[in-house]
Parts: sequence; C-alpha cells; structure tokens
Amino acid sequence: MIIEAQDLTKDYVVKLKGKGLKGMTKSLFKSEKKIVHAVKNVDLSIEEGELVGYIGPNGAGKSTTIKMLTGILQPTSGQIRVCGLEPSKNRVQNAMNVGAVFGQKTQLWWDLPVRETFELLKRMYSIPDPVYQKNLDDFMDFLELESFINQPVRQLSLGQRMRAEIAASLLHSPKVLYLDEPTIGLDINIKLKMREFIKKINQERGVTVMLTTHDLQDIEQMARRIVVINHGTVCFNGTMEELSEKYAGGSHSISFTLQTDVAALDLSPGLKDKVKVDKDGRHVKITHPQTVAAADILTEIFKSYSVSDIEIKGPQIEDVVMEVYNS
Amino acid sequence: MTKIKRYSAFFLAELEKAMAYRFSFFTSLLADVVKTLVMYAVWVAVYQQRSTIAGFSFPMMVTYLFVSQTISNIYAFKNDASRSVAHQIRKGTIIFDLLRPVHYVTARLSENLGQTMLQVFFSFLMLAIFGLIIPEISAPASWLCFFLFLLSLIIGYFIMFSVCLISGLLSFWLMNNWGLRNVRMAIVSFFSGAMVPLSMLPRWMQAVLNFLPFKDIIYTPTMIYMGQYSTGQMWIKIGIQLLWALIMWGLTEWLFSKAIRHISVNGG
Repeated sequence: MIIEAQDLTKDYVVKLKGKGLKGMTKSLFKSEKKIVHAVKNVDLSIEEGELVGYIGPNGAGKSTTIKMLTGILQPTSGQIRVCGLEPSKNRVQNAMNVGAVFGQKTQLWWDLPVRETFELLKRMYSIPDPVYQKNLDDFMDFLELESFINQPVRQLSLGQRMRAEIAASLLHSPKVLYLDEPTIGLDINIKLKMREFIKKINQERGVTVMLTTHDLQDIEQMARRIVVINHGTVCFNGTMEELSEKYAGGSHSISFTLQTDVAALDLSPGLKDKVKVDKDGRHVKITHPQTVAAADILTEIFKSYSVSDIEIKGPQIEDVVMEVYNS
Repeated sequence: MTKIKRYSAFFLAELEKAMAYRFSFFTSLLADVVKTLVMYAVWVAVYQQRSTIAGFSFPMMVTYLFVSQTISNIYAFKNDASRSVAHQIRKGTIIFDLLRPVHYVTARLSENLGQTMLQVFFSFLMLAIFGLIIPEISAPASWLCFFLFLLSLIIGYFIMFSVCLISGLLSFWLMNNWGLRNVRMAIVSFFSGAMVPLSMLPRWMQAVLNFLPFKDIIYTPTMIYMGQYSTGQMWIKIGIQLLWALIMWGLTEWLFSKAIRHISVNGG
C-alpha cells in the first residue's frame, strides 16, 4: 500500500461570534467554542498505481483529508503512512514523494513567468537536469504550454494556469499526486485535456493519483475506484459498478409515451414485482434493476399498446451519488 | 550544498520579483530619502540653539541620523517578514509552503534575504552619495569599526527578522496581522534607536532597554560605526547581540512548531 490511513480524525475548534454589536462586544472577552469533526475515523488504503476518486458534498472533509495526507495538517488522531512515511512528522521527506494541485489556489509565483517557477521548483526539489528536461519536454508537448510559458502567471487564463499548475506538481516525478478539484471552472476542451493527461501519467508513469472533484464526469472517465465521504466519514468504497448496484439510483429505466391513456396499464405477474411503474396520463416510466432484461419489458408493452415515443436510460451517476449524499 | 541550492529558490524568486516591480522599489527608496532629509532639517533647526545634546555634537547627530536610517531602510519595514506570513495565512497559500521539501522558517529567511538584497545595495549607495554632499557625515571611525559595524549589522538583521517573523506567526492565532504589526513597528522604531540615539532617553528607560533586544537592531551597529565604544566594549556588545539573535531565533522556531499544530486552512 502506498497510501494508508487508519482511524483518521481531524477536529477543528471554531469560535462562535455573537450576534450584532452587543454579541460581538461580548465575544471580544469571552467567546463560545464549538468542536467541528471535519474527518471522523476514516480508513483508506490505496495501492501503488491506482487512480482513486474521492468525492463528497461541500464540507464533507475531502480537502481536509488530502491536507492531512500531504502533511500540511496534523491529524487529531489516527495513523497515516504515505510511501512508508508519516507525513506530518516527516514533512520534508514526504514532500519529495508527493505532488499536489489545489484547484482553488495557486502554487506558481504570481509575478514571475511560468518557466521561472519551473526553474525555481527544479532548485527546490534538487531535480537532476536530465529528469527535469525530460519532464518539461513531455509536459510542454502534451499540455501545450509553449504559447504562454514566458508570460507572468498573473496574466494567464484559468485554463492556462491549471495546465501550468499540474505540470509544476509533477516536475520532481512524485510517486503520489493529489488533485483537489483540478478541473474546477475549466471549459470542456481543457477539462478533456486534463483528464487525458492525468490518465496518461497514471498509466505511463505509474503515478498513484488521488482526485477530489464535484464533476462526476471526471470520476466516470478516470477513476477505477471511488471513495465517498460524507459528514466526515467514508460511506462507500468500491468500483463504479458496485456503487450503481448498491444504490437504487443506479437502476435502469424505460419511459414510454403511448397513444392511449395508460391508467389501465398492467404488467404480467412475473415482471410486476421486480419493477417500479410510474404512470402519468399517456406517459409511463418503468424503473428496473439490472437483473431484469429491458427486452422483456419492451416485448410486453409492444404486445399490448401502440407506442409513439420511447427513451431508455442506463444508471445516472448523478442520481446515484445524490442518493449516497442524502442517505 | 544541495541544501543551500534548495533555499536559493526562495531567495531568487523574491529578488526577481523585486526587479519586476522596479517602479515601486524606487518610489519607496525616494520616500526613504525624503524622510531622512526631513529629519535632517529638524536637527539643523534644533542645533541652532545649542552645540551639544546628550553628548552628541551636530556632526555626530547627523552621522547618527544617516547611518541609523540606512540600517533602518535595509531591514525595512517594507520587506517585513510578518507581511508574507500573514498574507499566506489569509489567502491559504501557506499550504504550498508546507508542501515543499524545505524548513518553513529557513525558507522565509531566504525569501527575506532576497527582498533585502536590492535594499542593501541602494541604501549603502545613498549613504555614500550623502556622505559626499553633506560634510558633517563622517566615515567609519576606523577599519576595525567598519568591519565590526558590518558584523553587527548582519546580526542585527537576524534579530529584526526574528522579531518580524514572530509577530507574523502570531497571526496563526489572531488571523490578522495588521494591528499587531503597527504596535510592533512603533515599538521597534522607537526602542531600536531609529528615531533618536538611545543615550538621549531618560536613564531609567535606558536601563529597561538594556534588557531588551531592540537596541541591538539599530543603535548598537550605529554606535560601533561612530567609534563610540572601546575595542573590548565592541566585542562585548557584539557578543550580547549574538546571544539575542540566538534567543530570538529559538523563540521563532518554538512558535512555529506551536503554530503548525494550530493551522487551519481557509476556504476549500
């Protein structure tokens, strides 16, 4: 296991400020404190070369977990091992093994050209010349950095900046890459490019990637395994298929528009128990699990009714995930 | 060697930034010059009534003024380490500094040295130019005084850096650096001897200041420059300075080790 966490917990103490001028004055002298459990008893284990999606609603504890894994935050309790090191105790050595992109913040020097940031990172990580040159050539090529590499970072568009960010995070050839919302605010072209690049470095270089995102397309297209966190605890850990099976949102559905009113619609006894039927005027929606063949339903409907329109849907990741978040 | 090279990244980044913002650098340099000249005019007026104040003749006072202002501009309030720390905390970009394979306090020192470099060069250039124009400004009392002045200046820089960083690190708890920074700037500029020579202050105040590190930031190096101490005294003064530098550095490290446990990252 390249990343391993056991019973990971992080509490924050939040000071509550009183309401209005009176309350504010009072809290100058005595403020009430509240403990927030950002992450509670999280267990994680990620193998070398995996690409894991780490998802959850806003405030679920995703970023906090990532920050503990990088060694930035110290856990309140629990164990972490990344490449055999305890990140918060061996922050400096751990830093050599990991790279990170935080989509909401920049690691590039705001006032300097992109190339200059890269040169400075080369110094900071003592990257040998041949390694640096090869990485830079690869990234320049794939991420098309050429056109803006000599511009100061403050003049870059978000899409350009994010490409530079991910290149910067990989210059020292880290074994582990943490991506915290790397596609936030990007247009569809750049998003696709980023996804392709992340997959590429995962497959070709064997970099272990842990990715948080709110864009479920990211997860669908990249991650082989997903971990879902909500209210600070892990509520699912497995593959996409397993997730769809476990939650009803993962079922398939067929919607018909019939030429006659469907109030009287009835299915054969064998089928009726396994599916859910929603009727509304001439429309009917039949939701069925994967074990029931769509063909059986279609045959039965076509036999007794004349159909004017039909729509078949597979599992919707958004529906599945929403269900997990709300459960 | 690789270690020094690692930290040189921070030094170079700041030096390059300072060069990128030449205009702001030179306008603030101009502001320093104007400020010094105003203080010069005040002393000219004061000395019209009398020939010495607290043992300082007019030429001595002018030398004190220009040398102390040169030092004060070098570890200036512009390249104040507390500002970058407070900024990092407010913006949350401190996460990247903790993500790098470097020690945080040393990295801030390298950064600060980078910000200070241009300042050192131009401050001394200004002193040399004023030295040629204003006859009252005298050269260092002797070669020994000059070298010990440089040594004392460097140690003073470390004390100043630590004082600033400590006040910056306190924003881990306060989340805001502004008020504290103003208080610190007022204390430092008065107690370090940047405004008036400390020997002008009442005796009891001087006695108190003897037990604080601030006098070693500006007053001690300036007095060494002017040859106000015997050789033995100079070495003792530098020894005390060194002791303060070590104490303050230790305090900074201690505070950082506390602060890192207290860190909470703003937003996202």
